[in-house]
Amino acid sequence: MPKVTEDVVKRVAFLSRISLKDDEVSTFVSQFNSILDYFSIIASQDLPSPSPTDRLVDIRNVFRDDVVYVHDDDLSVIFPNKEGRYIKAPKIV
Amino acid sequence: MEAFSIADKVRRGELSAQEVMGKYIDLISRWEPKIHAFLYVDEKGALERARQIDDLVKKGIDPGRLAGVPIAVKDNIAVKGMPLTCASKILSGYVSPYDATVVSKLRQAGSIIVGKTNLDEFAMGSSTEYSAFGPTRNPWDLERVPGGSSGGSGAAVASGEVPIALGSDTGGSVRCPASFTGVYGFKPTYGLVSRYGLVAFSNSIEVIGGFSTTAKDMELLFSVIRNSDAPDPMDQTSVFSGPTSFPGLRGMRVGLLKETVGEGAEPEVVKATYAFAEALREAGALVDEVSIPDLSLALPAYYLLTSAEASSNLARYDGIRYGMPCPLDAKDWNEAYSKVRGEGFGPEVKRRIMMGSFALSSGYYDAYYLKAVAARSKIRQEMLKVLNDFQFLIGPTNPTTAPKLGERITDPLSMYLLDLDTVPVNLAGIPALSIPFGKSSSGMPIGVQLMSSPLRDDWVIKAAEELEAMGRVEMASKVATVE
Repeated sequence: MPKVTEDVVKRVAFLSRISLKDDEVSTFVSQFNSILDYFSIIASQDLPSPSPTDRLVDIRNVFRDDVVYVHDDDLSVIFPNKEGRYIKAPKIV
Repeated sequence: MEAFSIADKVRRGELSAQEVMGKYIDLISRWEPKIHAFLYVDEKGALERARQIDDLVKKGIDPGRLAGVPIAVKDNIAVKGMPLTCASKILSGYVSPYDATVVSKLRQAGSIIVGKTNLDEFAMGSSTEYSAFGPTRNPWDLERVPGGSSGGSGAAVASGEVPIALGSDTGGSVRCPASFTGVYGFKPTYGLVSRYGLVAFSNSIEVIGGFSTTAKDMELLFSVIRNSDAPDPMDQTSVFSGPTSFPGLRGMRVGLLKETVGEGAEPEVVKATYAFAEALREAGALVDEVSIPDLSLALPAYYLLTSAEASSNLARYDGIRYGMPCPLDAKDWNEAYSKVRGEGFGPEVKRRIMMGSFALSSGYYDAYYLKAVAARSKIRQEMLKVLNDFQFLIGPTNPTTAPKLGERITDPLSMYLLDLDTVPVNLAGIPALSIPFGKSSSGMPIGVQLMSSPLRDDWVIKAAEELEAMGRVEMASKVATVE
């Protein structure tokens, strides 16, 4: 089984866009190894290859009529950073 | 008081909804300092709604099947105008601008939403200790956890703060707290209750379910929230042919899942499960042991699949559009996202998102994610095959009774193992009811699980009603009064 190292944890944290403190990295290394050790029972199984989208029930498309309406609620109240009715975001360029 | 009799009396004008609500608000204020089941209580709104219900009755208008019944809603389900935190710092300050479909249905039926209950952050956990706002305590023993992730809803019903509550069940999150707090907890067939307005954690698996102190109340609650017509792409209403009448337990074949009473299960839990089998025999059912060896794959398959889905579903929390603000002085967007997510998510949520990203990443995808998908198919097929021969399956809800606070929180794997007996139900998408069935020598409730084929939800609840009528269910509605 693959051994999870600090580098793997840091890489996965970057992919997940989660910044970690140094002590979190070392805790996750040991926890991931113990969890994956238990999960090895599944990785070692000889199981038929499924479709990656295999699921319990079929998805059906949900459509609604394309109706124009005025949205009365002021959704800007939930913006954490804002200027007037606009969302304020980190600089792009 | 039972939801059923509250509604009955309020509809007939024999009981005032305001009086009922006043009593429950009093109970909430007495219990909350001890158990912390709620993250938010809308006292004013609840009393106002009760007044409206009373007015309707006075005018001769029927407020609905849940008239004046107070209900608590798990804080990962949207209720318009109330905070929606998922017990996470990352959603602090967020107030839902709309109602989930189940909440609209409850309102239409005359029920009164009292408030939002505590949970493990984003419903990831089995003890409610992973809430960013502090744990909920088990009303039977304040040093013990109420189970999770819907621990607030379980504790609220068990303590009598509300007669019924909503939770969500991804891998046992309704049934586990029901079992640990001695009440009924129902996980419906996947796709029978709309998930619209339920904050997504693992949408191919999770369902909304309920808590109650009697099987009849569960029947009432489920009859109100079932049958979605909402924009839920997994809605199965079209394949559901309406309630099938339950012919009674006599002559029914029941399979006791051998794997669930083996190694790892506490002896007292095993004993209760056999006593449950005996009760079913007394009712005329034919109980045999049955084995599904591949059940051992269920727990890893469940954690891999749900973590993979969580890593994608929780990508939306970026601190830009709602919730905790991201730092505006970050050098780029990656840094801004990473900082707010690093601060806003708790340890279990970080672990699951990262485990999911790991299982989906190149090099590990075939060994973990695809294997988990294959294992889910296999477990579902095997469970459905067994359910061709047996009308019901039974087993303990959890291998143990409620652990003490802090006992498992530092070892995530030991926490995951609490879900050993509940996750196969979610992988198979079948209905299951956790039934309170006795107590351990230390006085903690024990729950047993009654499972059936997809869409046989009514059968599961009706069977419990039959056992209850025989006096074989030990209900927890008689929790010690507040000290």
